[in-house]
Amino acid sequence: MKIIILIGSSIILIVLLLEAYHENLGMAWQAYQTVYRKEMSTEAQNKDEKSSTDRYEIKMRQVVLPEFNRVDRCISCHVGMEDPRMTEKTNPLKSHPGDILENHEVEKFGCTICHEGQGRGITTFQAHGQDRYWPYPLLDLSVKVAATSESKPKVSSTDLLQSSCYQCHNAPDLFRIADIGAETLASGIGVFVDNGCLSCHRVNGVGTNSGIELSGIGDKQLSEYDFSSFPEEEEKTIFNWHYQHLKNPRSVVPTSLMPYIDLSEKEIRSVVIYLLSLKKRGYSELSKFARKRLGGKEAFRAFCAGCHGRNGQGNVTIQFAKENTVEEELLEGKKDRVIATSLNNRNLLSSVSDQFLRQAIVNGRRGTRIMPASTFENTGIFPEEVDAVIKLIDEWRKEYNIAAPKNLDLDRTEIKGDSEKGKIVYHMKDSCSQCHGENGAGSEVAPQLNNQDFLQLASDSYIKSTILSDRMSVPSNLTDEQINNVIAYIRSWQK
Amino acid sequence: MNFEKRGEEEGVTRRDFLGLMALGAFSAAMIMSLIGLLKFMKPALLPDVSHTFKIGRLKDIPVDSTKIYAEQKVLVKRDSEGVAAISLICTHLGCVVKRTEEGFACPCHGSFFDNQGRVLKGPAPKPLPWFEVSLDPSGKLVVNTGKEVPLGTKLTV
Amino acid sequence: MENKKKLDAIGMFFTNLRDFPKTFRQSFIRHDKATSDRARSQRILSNLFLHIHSTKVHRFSLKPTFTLGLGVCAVSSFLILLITGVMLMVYYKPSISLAYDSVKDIQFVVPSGRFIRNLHRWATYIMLVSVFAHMARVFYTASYKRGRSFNWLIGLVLLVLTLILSFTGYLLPWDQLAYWATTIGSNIAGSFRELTDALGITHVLDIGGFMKVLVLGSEEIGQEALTRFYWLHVMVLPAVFVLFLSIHMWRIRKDGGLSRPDNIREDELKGIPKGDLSESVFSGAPPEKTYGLMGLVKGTSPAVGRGPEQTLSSWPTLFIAELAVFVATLAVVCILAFFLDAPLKEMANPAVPENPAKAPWYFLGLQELVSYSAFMGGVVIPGVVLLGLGLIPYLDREEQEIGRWFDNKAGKHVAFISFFFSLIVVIGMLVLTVNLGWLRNWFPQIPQIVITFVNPGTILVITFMFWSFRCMEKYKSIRIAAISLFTCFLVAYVILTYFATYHRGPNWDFYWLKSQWPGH
Repeated sequence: MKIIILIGSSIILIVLLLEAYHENLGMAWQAYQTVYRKEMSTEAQNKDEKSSTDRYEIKMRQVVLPEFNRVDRCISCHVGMEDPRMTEKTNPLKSHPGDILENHEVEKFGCTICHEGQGRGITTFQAHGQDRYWPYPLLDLSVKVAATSESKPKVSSTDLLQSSCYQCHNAPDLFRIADIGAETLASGIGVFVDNGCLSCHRVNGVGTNSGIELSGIGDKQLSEYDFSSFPEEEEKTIFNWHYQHLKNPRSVVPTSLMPYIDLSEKEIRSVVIYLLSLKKRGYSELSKFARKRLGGKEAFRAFCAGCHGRNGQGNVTIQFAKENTVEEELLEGKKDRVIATSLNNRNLLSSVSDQFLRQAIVNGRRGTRIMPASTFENTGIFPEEVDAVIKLIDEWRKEYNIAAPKNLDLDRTEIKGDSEKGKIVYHMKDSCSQCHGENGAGSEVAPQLNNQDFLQLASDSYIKSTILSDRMSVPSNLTDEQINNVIAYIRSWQK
Repeated sequence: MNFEKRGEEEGVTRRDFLGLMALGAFSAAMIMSLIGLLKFMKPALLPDVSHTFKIGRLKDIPVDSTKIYAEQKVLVKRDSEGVAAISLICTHLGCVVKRTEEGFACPCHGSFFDNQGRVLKGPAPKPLPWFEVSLDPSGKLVVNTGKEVPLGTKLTV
Repeated sequence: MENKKKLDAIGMFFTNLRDFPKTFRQSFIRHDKATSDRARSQRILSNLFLHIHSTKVHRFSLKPTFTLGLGVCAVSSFLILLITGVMLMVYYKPSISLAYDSVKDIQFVVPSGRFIRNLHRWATYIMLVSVFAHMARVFYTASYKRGRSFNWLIGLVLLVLTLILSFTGYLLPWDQLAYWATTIGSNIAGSFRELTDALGITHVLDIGGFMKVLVLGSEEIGQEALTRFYWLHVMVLPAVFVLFLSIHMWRIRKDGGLSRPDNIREDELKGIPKGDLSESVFSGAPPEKTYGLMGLVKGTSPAVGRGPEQTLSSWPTLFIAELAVFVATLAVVCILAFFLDAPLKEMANPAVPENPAKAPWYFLGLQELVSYSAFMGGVVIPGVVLLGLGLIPYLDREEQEIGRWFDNKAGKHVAFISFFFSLIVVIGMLVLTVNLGWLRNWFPQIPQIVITFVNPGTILVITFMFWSFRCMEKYKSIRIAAISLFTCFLVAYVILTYFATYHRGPNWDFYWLKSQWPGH
């Protein structure tokens, strides 16, 4: 028994001594600070500097940032960050490159607010977030991880760091970010807006919610991303997920409804930087009120082009997978396919009034998947922008040499017909129901007609003109009476 | 009989030596644990905001000016001789003193200090402490509220 | 006259002052050097912490292969937990926004914080294992008999308290592991709904919902739950535990010490020192000392007639033995704590479930059953097991030799074959369900109520019961039936725990190795 006590106590003693050594003497920051002190005394030029060197204590250092709910202990190892004499040294003694610390003092902002990583950690492993249970590793680190062994990193660390700027520099509007010198982030915002992403996505109250809400997407942790369909050879990082998804949506999310958008690698990179910068951990909320007003063209591209096409030609150009052609997509008959009317066409532009367009924008098409009521409350679009978009459409009329629209929608004269007979015509083979669906339910290729917003907006003469015209190259071979009957049938849906 | 007895005695001493060793090792382990537990109680880092804070470059501080840093409870003044930092915490019981014409006044128990922080009247036992002002490598002035310097010490410029 | 008295008093004052160190020491060390039996006994009796032991201990109780030191091991780990737990409270902040960061700080910068947290973690494991093993030891040596039935029940309460204590502690770091393990736990508490839903009476009698709210203080795990768990973990449960532990220890003395056989052969006591019989407890007592009979010690006959030949003084032999177990326990915990860090995952995120979300390991056996029916696996079966354990000393009242492992040849035999029987049944059941699935895979439309009552868990329980009845019939002994049933459940618990720990991966699918888990 006594021998057990002896052996047991000795083991305890040894373990405790090991732990004491491990904790008090074996820390890397102690070594770094010792080196730093030595470097300082060799650099010291006069007596004052010499004495300040002697007073330099070797201890754990930290920046406490109560308002950010952070504690950054990075400066325990990165001791020379604010010391210009250390510019030539290597990390961790090196001073911070550039002059960004001039107005981002370490004592006020710490380090992790820009660089991410685990500020509380005091070893490289902990602090740089290599611990796989720390969701926000050092940004530079995720760049290294994103690089496959052959290729060079897809993004430079200075570019990636710009995804942190937006946490504080998010006001007053999306576009002024360029003023602070974050060019990649600024161009990312530009590409994002110019390619109609807001037509489906919403960021801080601006844009529609047809797609996934993007506010706070930068906070999403690696574990929340689905890599199950991810290309095998690609590195599984957050940056690369977005990168591949933008490159070819369906290669990452097979059921994605996001259209393929033809962007250059540089553009994709900058959009990803912008997406990663959308953090809810940010310290001031972007207000949709503070946004700069867009011109007609920009507003159309930002809010409408995602579905109606960059020039309003309609969504014939929407392509889901990079390798698929539009025809293949149509043949596949994707059930979830979104349909948006062509706006930039002679028939529509020549027949409807501005009021028709305004009503269509402001009320949307309730009941359909996608066309939302585009009011300021709903999508953050300013009334001035709606005006500008209508003005833009008016510009298109000029291109077709349409002097003035016929305002058919305002012509409320009723066209009489037999709705029972119309029903038969509507459901005939190779007739309306082929594309517009049974009972006007709509389909993958043509809009829903049994829709109160549409029925209220469209006058009988407008419907007749549309049937008679060759929109979407569908010529009509119906007799006038048949057309009148069909119109009566369509009208019968209106409540 | 005799043999047996001797053997027994030897056995006893051997056992006692073992027992003594065991007791010694156990006590050492327990003392070590106690040291560990006591060290645990003193945090390696205090959760307070840093003692040192920057007050900017020398050229940004006009001569013959004073500025109160309310958060740190420090008054920084610059005159022709140099820059100095004086604590605004009353040495009596820790209230924050107010700036007056002739110096500082403590609202809690009526202590008065002159411009140098010396006690004029009231219960305060010591003058207001002066803090070290130094120039950091990047050329900014740093006040260290963790480090007291003798009254009248200024960073000469 | 007056003056002299005054002088006397002053002189006395200085004499007292001079004697102060001696009198002060005597005031709390009231016994002589431990050279006589009397002094040794006094040492124990005059000390609050030692007097829970009797002054004399039977040599059989010191036999290491009999007790295996498991009870002392459990108490030692509890002591370690108590001390480290109180230390951790200094830095831990029970708030959902601060808890995780404070644990990180304990891990990173608090001096010896990482080590103390690890000690707390590993001492929990050692305590759980030793508590389970201790119960098995007491059962297999039939030590719940002869007036010890009440103490068996107290032991059961301590077992349940140990489980709840470690479960409540699991939530406190507020990481993903904690959050989702607690989610599972609280939903098991709410699984009464499975029964009430099937009967369609949930809207009238929602026991599950009530239990869940009772545990969490709200519908979801949040600040309320953390506060409750903290309150339970650091205050209520330890206090109740200490109370029951005291009763447990006290009952051991009152029940006549540890159980031992009536006829002990000398060869069974080989290597255990003999007591010094040259003097009795009473010799050397001052003549003015009076004695009172403080209580009757239970046993078949009072020890007066038999003489103390097989006992020896508790001081120091028993204490050395106990100290040895304590030191060994602490040494093991220290080594584990130095090399293996207690896990700390990402901060709790209610939006992203862990996959697989596993309960703490000691509940994983249950979680395997819960994967069929939360109500049966999580409420009914544990309830039945606890009830059965509690009833053992009341249903098995056979007079028999106690204090020997597995009683006798028949007991050994039954334990042996029950071990293999249950091994085959449990593994067979697992192989069946892993390969073929269960009722829902065969009949997708089957109502939940059927699965609730017919699932691997209930089938195992019923099989074991039948087996135990067979043994009872064959050997005509309730004790034998109890041994077979206890063995079956023990084996099932161990295998299911092992299986769920190592062979269940994401979506609770079967995997041979963790490295085969699909990465995400």
